[in-house]
Amino acid sequence: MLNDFRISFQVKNAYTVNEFIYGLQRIPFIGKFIPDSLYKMKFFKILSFIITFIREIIKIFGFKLLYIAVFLILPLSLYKSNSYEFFMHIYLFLALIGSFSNTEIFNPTRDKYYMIVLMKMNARNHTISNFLYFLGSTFIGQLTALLLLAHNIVPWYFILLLVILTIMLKFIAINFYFYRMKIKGQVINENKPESWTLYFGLIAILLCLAYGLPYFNIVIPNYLFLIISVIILILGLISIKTVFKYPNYAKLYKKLLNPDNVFVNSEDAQKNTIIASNLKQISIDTTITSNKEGFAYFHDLFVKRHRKILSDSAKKTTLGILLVGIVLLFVLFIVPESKEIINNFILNYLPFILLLMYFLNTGKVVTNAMFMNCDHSMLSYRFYRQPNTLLSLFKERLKTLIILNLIPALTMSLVISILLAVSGGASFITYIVVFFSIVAMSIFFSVHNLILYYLLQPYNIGMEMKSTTYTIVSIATYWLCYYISDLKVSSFTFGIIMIIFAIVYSLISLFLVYRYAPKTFKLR
Amino acid sequence: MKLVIKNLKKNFGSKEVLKDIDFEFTSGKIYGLLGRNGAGKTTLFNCLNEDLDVDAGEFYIMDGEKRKIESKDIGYVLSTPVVPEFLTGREFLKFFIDINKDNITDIKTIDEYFDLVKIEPEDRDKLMKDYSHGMKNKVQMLVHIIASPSILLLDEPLTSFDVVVAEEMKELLKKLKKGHILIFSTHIMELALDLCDEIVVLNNGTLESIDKSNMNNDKFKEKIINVLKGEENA
Repeated sequence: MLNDFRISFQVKNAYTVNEFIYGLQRIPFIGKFIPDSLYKMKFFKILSFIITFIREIIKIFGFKLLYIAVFLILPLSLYKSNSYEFFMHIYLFLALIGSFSNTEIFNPTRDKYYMIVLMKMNARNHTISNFLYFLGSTFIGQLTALLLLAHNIVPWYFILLLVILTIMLKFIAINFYFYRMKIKGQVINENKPESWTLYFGLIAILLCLAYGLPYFNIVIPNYLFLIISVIILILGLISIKTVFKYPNYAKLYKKLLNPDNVFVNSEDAQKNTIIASNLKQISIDTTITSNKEGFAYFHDLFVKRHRKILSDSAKKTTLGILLVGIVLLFVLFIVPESKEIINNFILNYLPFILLLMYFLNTGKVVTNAMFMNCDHSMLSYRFYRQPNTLLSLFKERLKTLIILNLIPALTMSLVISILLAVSGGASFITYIVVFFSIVAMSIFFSVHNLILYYLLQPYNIGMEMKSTTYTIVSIATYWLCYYISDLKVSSFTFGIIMIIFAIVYSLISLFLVYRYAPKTFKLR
Repeated sequence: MKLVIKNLKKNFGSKEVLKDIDFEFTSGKIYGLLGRNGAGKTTLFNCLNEDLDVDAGEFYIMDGEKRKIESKDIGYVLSTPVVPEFLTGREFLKFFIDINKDNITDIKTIDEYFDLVKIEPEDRDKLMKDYSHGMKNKVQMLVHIIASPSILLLDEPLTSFDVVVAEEMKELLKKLKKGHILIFSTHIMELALDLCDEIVVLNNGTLESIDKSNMNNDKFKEKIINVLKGEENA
């Protein structure tokens, strides 16, 4: 058993270092200078051992210290209490949460997958040896953290009792899971509960009992705590035998360690999830047709079959704007003093609307749907990447995107104009400028999002967004909008600048797409 | 007409995948492209289809005179079929014919095209997201048959077909080869020997044609295996 533990530790070491080197090789600019020969260098094996060792130390002591400090010492200080009964009350409920949510045995990890599934290690030996390590590290880590942080609150013998209870509760939870499996005939995965509602409901109840009762000065009295402890100890001792003698670990892990459970973040699993969720977005309405031709026909069918995802967000935004407008109108009538504030805001803080429009624009959602359900497949056809094809489709898409975003933008323009009129009014030309500058902002973001998509095509063939440049430009756009939103400039001046800028930007963008998109818009 | 490749090179980091490819493919033939795993068959196809930029060298069509390969000249059938799943098979063909009608000679009706690859009438108006792998593959193959490019690159296209459809597809490809260059990548030796007029091996980053001369199939197979193993030069 000790040998099994040693081997699994070595395997963990090996893939830790391999992942480290693999990660280095994927760093932009630096990665290409990292040779494959590093994988066989002994230095990295030692480095890996050090990394694993440090990681274990942090896991055993660091996380436990943080856990005790955040979940126990901090609440106690907020309750201004130094009572060990408060402490033990909260601890017990937290230990209950930990017992069923972190059993180790029902956690489908990569280590287990590699050792039990791929390397055919004896499931029982692997499980028991690693479970003993888990219990040992929990015991030492928890005990150390409690002694360091709670020695002046809880007597040492109660600290010892709390740690033992933690361990016993885990045995009881595992035994309970074995029982449930036997009754229901299905494997339990602690990361994917049968019912998330029940799971989070139970956690919420236990958290309420842990922190809510002490708020009202209600905690488990000492004598009751001791009775509960005795029950837990007895049930725990009974469960220990079951856990160590359990004969079906091999059967359990055969079902639990399927790649979907283990590699929840693997590229394949992610890709399959993305594909499945995107296919669901396609409308199966058989009456959908189009009487257009060529690209207009292709795009028309795309829009009609994705109407829900394309227009849902715009509809919700429009509704939100209307609601806010109605509330503000109501406020204007109820509180006359608010008129000046709102009027002043509209006349002097138009740049703030730019930031708002940045968040409200659906460009990213739409381009995402375009890639996932259309361009991902079509880009492998060479005719689809021809300059004329690209430009024809780009024009169709731009029209759709602008129209989709114009619905909330026009609503906002209208709402702001009404608010301006009701709050004290402004000159006719100001109305015009404010109205059209919001429309210009919407058009600008529609063009901007589509241009970025065509010029930087950020997705790879695995449907992940992998373009560093795209991320940098997106962040820069946000910061620019944020900076502009803080500018002290009249809405009239800003509105004029915005309208001119949106027109110039759109014209330059069209030229850029025609000139560069045939080279940039392709599968990576 | 010939497809001429001259001194083509493609590296990934320090790894030279395509070293110095010099080769000429002639129309009217199906070429079986064989190579071991990771030999660079897909990389070669990606370079010819301009999905990847080459590091050195050139490739062009020699049709009386040298000319650059244009989009309409080349078709690439991927091993994993990709089709726009939000369209029905009929809608996709309609769109494809609409935008390529200037380049398509002898346009047939959409149903006639479906008949060609034996897609059943009840499947023609279904969304392609509900198509099987094999049906998607048929549609992908069909658009290339309709476009009829001078050069057709086929990356293991028959693997997802059942035996009956695979036989039908083989016959279709044999009919299609007249006036075209078909380069067919596969790992299945029997398929290559059965379907292809010439066997080309991609080994150590270079292409070489394997001369069959008067050998029977068994001897020829043995020779190809030896070349693939790097034990003997053809």
